[in-house]
Parts: sequence; structure tokens; C-alpha cells
Amino acid sequence: MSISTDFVTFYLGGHYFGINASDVLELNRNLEVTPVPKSAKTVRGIMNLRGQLVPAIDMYERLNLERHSGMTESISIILRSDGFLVALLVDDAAEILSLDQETFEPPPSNFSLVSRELVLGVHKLSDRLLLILDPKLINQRTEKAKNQLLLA
Amino acid sequence: MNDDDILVEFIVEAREILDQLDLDFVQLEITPDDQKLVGNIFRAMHTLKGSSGFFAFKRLEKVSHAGESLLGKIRDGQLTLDTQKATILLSTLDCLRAIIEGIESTHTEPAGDDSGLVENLLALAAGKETNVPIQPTTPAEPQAEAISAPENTAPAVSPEPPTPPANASVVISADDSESTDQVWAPDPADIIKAQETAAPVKVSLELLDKLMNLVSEMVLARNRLLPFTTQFSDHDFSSAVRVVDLLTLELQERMMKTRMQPIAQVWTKFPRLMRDVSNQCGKQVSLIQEGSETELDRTLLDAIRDPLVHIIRNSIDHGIELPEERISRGKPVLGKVLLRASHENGMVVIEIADDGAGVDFDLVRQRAIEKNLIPLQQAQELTDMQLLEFIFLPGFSTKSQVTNLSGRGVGMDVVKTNISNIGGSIDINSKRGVGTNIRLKIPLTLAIMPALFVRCGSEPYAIPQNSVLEMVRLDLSEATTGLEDFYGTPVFRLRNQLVPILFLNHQLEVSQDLPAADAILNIAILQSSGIRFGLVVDEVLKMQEVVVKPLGPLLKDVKDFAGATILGNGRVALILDIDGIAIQSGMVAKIQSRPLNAESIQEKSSEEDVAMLSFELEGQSRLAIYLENVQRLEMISPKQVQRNGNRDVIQYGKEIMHLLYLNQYIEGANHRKTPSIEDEVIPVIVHYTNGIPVGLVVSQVHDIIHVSKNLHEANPPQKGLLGCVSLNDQVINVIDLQEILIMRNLQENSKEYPAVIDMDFS
Repeated sequence: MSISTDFVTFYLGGHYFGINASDVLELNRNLEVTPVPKSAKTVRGIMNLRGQLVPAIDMYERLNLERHSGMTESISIILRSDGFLVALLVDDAAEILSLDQETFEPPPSNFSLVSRELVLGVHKLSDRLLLILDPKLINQRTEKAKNQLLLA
Repeated sequence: MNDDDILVEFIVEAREILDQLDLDFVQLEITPDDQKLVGNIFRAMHTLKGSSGFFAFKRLEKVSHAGESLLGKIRDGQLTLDTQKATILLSTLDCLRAIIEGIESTHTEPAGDDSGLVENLLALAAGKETNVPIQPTTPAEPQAEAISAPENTAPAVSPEPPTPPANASVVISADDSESTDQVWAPDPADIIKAQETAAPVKVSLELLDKLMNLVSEMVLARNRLLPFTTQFSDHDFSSAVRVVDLLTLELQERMMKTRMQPIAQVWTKFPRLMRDVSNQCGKQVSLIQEGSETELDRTLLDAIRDPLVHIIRNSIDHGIELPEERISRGKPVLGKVLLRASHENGMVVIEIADDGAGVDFDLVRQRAIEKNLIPLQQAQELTDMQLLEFIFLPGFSTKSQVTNLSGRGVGMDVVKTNISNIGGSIDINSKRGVGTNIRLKIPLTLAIMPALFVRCGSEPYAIPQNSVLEMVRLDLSEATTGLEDFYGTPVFRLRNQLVPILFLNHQLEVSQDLPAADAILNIAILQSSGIRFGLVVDEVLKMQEVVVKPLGPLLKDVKDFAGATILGNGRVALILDIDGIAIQSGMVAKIQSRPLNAESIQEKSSEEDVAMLSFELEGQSRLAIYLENVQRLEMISPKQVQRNGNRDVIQYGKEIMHLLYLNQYIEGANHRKTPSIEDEVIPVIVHYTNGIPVGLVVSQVHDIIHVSKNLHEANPPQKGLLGCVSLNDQVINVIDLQEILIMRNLQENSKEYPAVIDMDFS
């Protein structure tokens, strides 16, 4: 018998992502983001979550995804990453799935560099693939990404 | 209450006891005969021993027991306290503190060997017993004070008149003969006092911070609620909202108060610190504390602790001279270090002054040259004030030898950084042979501070008010000079001083737009890192109190922001870090290498200088009057001016002030124009002569200037002018007030030149 895990799933740039539900605090719609000039590209700005400042991560930038539509992400997923709150800006939220370990696989080799580090693996669902993100890395790698930017 | 809770209580209490003991010991050294004090110390040590027995902390128990034994002998008069005993008792305290800290982090007693210390203590307690004549014990006196000692150390633990905390009494074991003679017989008066002061309750800091956050949220929620009262004209609803409004306001104020704590909390550690440091240096120093009741936000208290420790150490180690040296200089042997805290303009000012040797400017200059911070020739020209700036550079120390006290060169720069991190500033003043005075200006609270909101692009930004000097509107089409270029730095002229400017939109990389040639610039004049500069913003919005929140680890690399705040509408606005912006722009380095206004740096400098007030008259734009002749500056309305005989007067407070139109007395000034009703206000320089105010009417008052004492005499002499000075390549005429006053008397009396003119020009 295998243990099942709950995942909060969401859509971003046509991909289907999941993140361990135990890391997720809440989902919000249309929180206003205040841009922070000169910050890393991956940080869209900061938002006010009931009195707490939460950095909003531009997941398109973070995952090196190409932005197709002109629409802006309206959903923010608030999660605890490395002890700090961050908000992931995503296109749309989907259901919470309870999945067994059986369908899990490490990330395929043809992933691009940045996102490969972020993606823990893939759950093969019957109709599509669910990419599982590592919440810890979301915070850390942003800084490194910025350093790379500065070096370049 | 489970065991952990009891343990936490114990640690808190033990720390309080140790803090109090620190103070008591130092006091005891000064007044060794104070039996009450010895009693207090003994009891405190005893309580600690009892509690540690309860938790079976063996080390703690042994050490405190040994300490107690020695103290018991001192208390009973069998031994007297001398420096040797005081030192070993203090090291006992340190040992106890170390153990308590170990317990706090691991919840078990840390391993360690205290046998040496214990032996010493016991030897001292026993060894000299025979040498000292046994005096009758005086048990009555210490017991009378039994109330206050535990009350001071643990106010909230026991609301009823203090006994050793409950857990302690459980453990007082048979080997403890001293404890049995402790009769807790409280004085009735003390009981009343104890009941009155039983109110304080211990609340954890976390809870307090959470509450503070909630209150801020509550305020914002209220702000969102308020607009609805105008939308719905429901009377009941409006009044309910009004009640919520008032309650929230009060809640906020009270909450702020709970975070305020007297600065004495930090200062209690200093007598001990001072004793240790001065003993190590072989110096005799007394510490004077003034204004220890001044209150500060507790987060700020934590932040100023280390800087203050450092400064005090410096004062003793660098400042105060050795006793022999002090005698030879004719100073009292006992050096003085003064700590003074007070409120000033919504800030807390902490002064640390000593009467030591002052900063060794020659040594600073030498070090600056040695470290290649400045070319030799330039170094020779530096004033004392400029030399002081070097002290704040990292790695700069005048001590040639590294001691464990100071000299490692990690010092004042860290102090400065720490202080500016909390929005404060540091000012240092030193005179050779007289002493050093360091002033720290700290905001009252970190949580809320006044800020100026400006707009840049589409976003509002907040500038901490403590760095804002003034706001200036510069109309480029009207200004005669506009923006100028000074070695690549744009500057503009503000009252004859060049002020470098930065464009906020460039600094934040929001846009690269430059202002049009006829644009009107909004410039915030800011003070940062010792330089004054103007920040050009798109719009000045308003002044508002803001709750500062940290940006968090993801954004900490962006040096331009000190934090963010949440506006009334729930949006987030960033708070600019003025120091960060100034340094990042590279302007600070540029200006420091090429001072813009040479004389402004020397403002307070040499004694050859004299302060004057510069002003202008119609036709004479550059005039000055000795500042010592100026008592006040007033703006009066022409409507106040009354004709009294042939004189113009105004009611000035309870006095009648005569007006003197300076332009009638000074050569070159336009005589015709006297202020008329069209003028909205008339600037008047008030000078007292023989206790009677005279108002000198001018057309504009400029600034206080510092110029050389040596006047160039006007040749040939000009009416009403004493001579001239040069400033910034400009010639400024200094008025001859004495002559002008005489001329006035002559004119008005139309008589002979008065034989004696009784005037006081001092």
C-alpha cells in the first residue's frame, strides 16, 4: 500500500503544475502587487497579505516560460518556503489532487536548466502530466538567478 | 503549568537576579558598609541556589552555594568586602550567567568544571575568618529590607509579599544553616507598597509583536470602513463606525505605549561594564546617568545596546587618562563618563560624554596617511571636524596595540551602521584635553515613523522624515542658473550653496527622462552620510505616519529601500533608504573627494571664524550682521506697524519695538523704498540694546554664514558698513550696527552728537 499526497494544482502558460498542499497556506484572487524597482526579474513586487508583506514571484520568469497570452496572472498561491511566505502568481488554480507515489517519476532529461532544478518530478495522470514543484527552491534560486543576471 | 514553563520562569527570574546582583556588587564596592545591600545580595544568591536545587542543576547549586558562603561571612561582618572579593564574586556571577545561558539553550545544565572557583570562594570564606575579629551579627537590618530585594528582581512572579519563589522553599536543605535564620518579617508599610506595585504582568515579546501587528491591521480595516459612512446615510451605522474609529485610535495609542520601555533597562548593565573596563585599564572612572526614565521602543533598546557598550568602552579605554596623567593635567583623578538621554523633537537623544583626553587628532591624521586614505599634503589641511570623519571608516583605529577592549578597528563604523539601521544618526565632537561628546539621535519607535510621500512614475514612495531637511520647488525657466554641472554631478544653487541632485526616476531605473528646460522641479533636500543632496521627484504628496515592515530575504539585496509600508487603502508603498540611494549613486564618494562648498564642511571649525547672519536690502544684496547682535528673527505684517511720534513701532510681546529701516542708513542701498502695505510680511532682525528691542527692517534674510574674523576694512569708509568679508568668492558687507544706532539717535533728536552713548553691544 502506498501513501498518497495532496497537491494543489494550477495552470501556468498551458502547463499543469502541482505543489505539495502541506506547504500551501491559501489561494487569493486579485491581490494588488506593488512593483519593486531594481529587484530581481523573478520578483514581480510585493503584496499585502493581511498586514504581512509577501513577495510575489513571477512564475513565468521563474520557470523560464514564454508568455503567450497578454493576460496577467490573477491567482496567487501563498506558500511557506524556507520559513518565509511567498506568493506564486499563476494563471488559474485547479483542484486539489490526492496522488499515489506510483505515478511519480523524476523529471525528464529534456527540461530546461532553471526549471529542471525546480521540478521535483512528474505525476503521470491518465490524461496529462502534472509537474511537481519544489517549494524550497522557489525562494533560494531566485537569489541565485539574480546573481547570474548580475554576472552576465 | 508544565515543567518547561517552570523552567522558563526560572531562567527569566535567574537573569533578573543576576542583573540586579551586577548592580548591587558595584554599588557595594562604593559603599562597602551598606549592610542592607549585603543582605540583598545574600538573599538573591540564596534564592538562586534554592531554585537550582529544585531543578537539580548541580553546578549552579555548587557555585551559588560557595558564593553564598562568602557572602554570608561578609553579611555577618566577619569579613569585609575588598576588591579581591568583589572580583571573585563578580566572576561567580559570570559563571552563573554562563550556566543559565547554557540551560536556556539546551534545557539541561551545561557541563563544566567550576572547582577552582568554588575552592577560591570557600578559601576566602574560610581562610580569613581568623584574621578578622568577629563582630556581633546584625540580623535585624538586612531583614527589614527583605521586601524590596525579591520585589525588584521578580516583580511579577509573586504578587503577594515576596518570599523566595515557591519552588525555592521546597529545596532549602539541611546543609543550609544560613537560611534558617532568615525570618521573613515584612514591614507593614512595605506590604502596602508591594501591593501597589503588584500590577505588572509578564507578557512574551512575541505576543506583544503579534498584538501590534493586529492593531495595525485593525487600523487599516477601520480606514476601509470609514468611506462607507458617507455612502450610506444611515445614522446608526455612522455612529457605530465612529465608535469603532475612536476605539481603534485609542487601541493603537495604548499598544504603542506597551512597547515603550525606559532606557534604564539597557543602562543597568553599564555600571558593571564600566567597573570591569576601568579596572582592566587601571583607570578610575565614575559613570553618571541622567534621564534613565526616557522611554524607547523595545526593539530600539535592543539595537542601541551594543553601540552604547562600544562607545562606553572607547570612552574609558581611549578617552579617560590614567590617574597620574590626570593629576599632572590638573584634572580630578576620578574620570567622568556621562550618559544622558532625553527627548528632543520627537527623537531620543543619547549623549555619551567623557572628560578625558579627547580624540588624538594628530594620531588620526597620521593613521589616515599611513593607511593611504588621504595624500600627505591634504591631510595637513584637514580640520579636526574632518578628521573625526575618519573614525567612522571600517578598520580605522588609533590604538597601535590591540587589546581585548579595543583597537581592532571594528568599532565606530559598526556603531554608525547599527545606529543608521534604526533610522538614527551619530554626531561626535571632541576637544583635545577636554573630552569627547558623542550624540546619538534615535527615533522614538521603529514601528511607526513620520514619512514624506512622494510620487515617482506611477508609484508613491515614502522618505523617512528624519532625513528630509526641506522641500524646494525649482522653476528651471525662472532660475537664473538652473541646473549646473560640477564634475559630472548635476547641482543647483540653494541660498548660495551648491547642492548636488539625484533624479529618483533614474536611481530607481523607472525611467531615464530628463526634465525639460522649463520644467518645475520638486526637490526634496535630504541629509545622508554627512552630505546634503536634493532628490528630484515627480510630485510631493503628503506627510504621513507609516508602519515600517521589512521587505524580507528575497528583496534584501535591493539597497534602495529600507522597507515598505501598507497604505490606508491596503496598497503597499516602498520606503526609500536615503543612505542606500546616496551611496549607490556614487555621489557620496564623488562629493567627499571634491567638496562642493568648502566652507560648509568647516562650519563649526576653527576659532578664527565668526558667525554672521546674511541678509539683503533693496540695492544691496549681500550684507551681514554679527550673529551675536541678533536675538530673534521675526516676520511682521505691515498692519502691525504703528506711528509713534516720528518713529515706527510695533507691539512686540509686552514691549514696544522700534523699527529701524536699515536701507536708510547704508550706503548703496535703495533709500526710497520703505515697506508698504502691499508687502505681505516684513522680515525684521530683532536686536536688544539696553534691554529694549530694536527691529532692523530688511528685505530678505538669508542664512547663517561662518566667515573669517578678519574683516577687510572698507576703504574709503562707507556709511553704515564696518567692512567686508569674502565668502565663496563673493564680497559680503558687514554692517556697523553701532554707527547705525548712533545715526538714528542723531537723526531723530537732531541734536548734537551725544557725548556718551550708553549702548550695550555685547
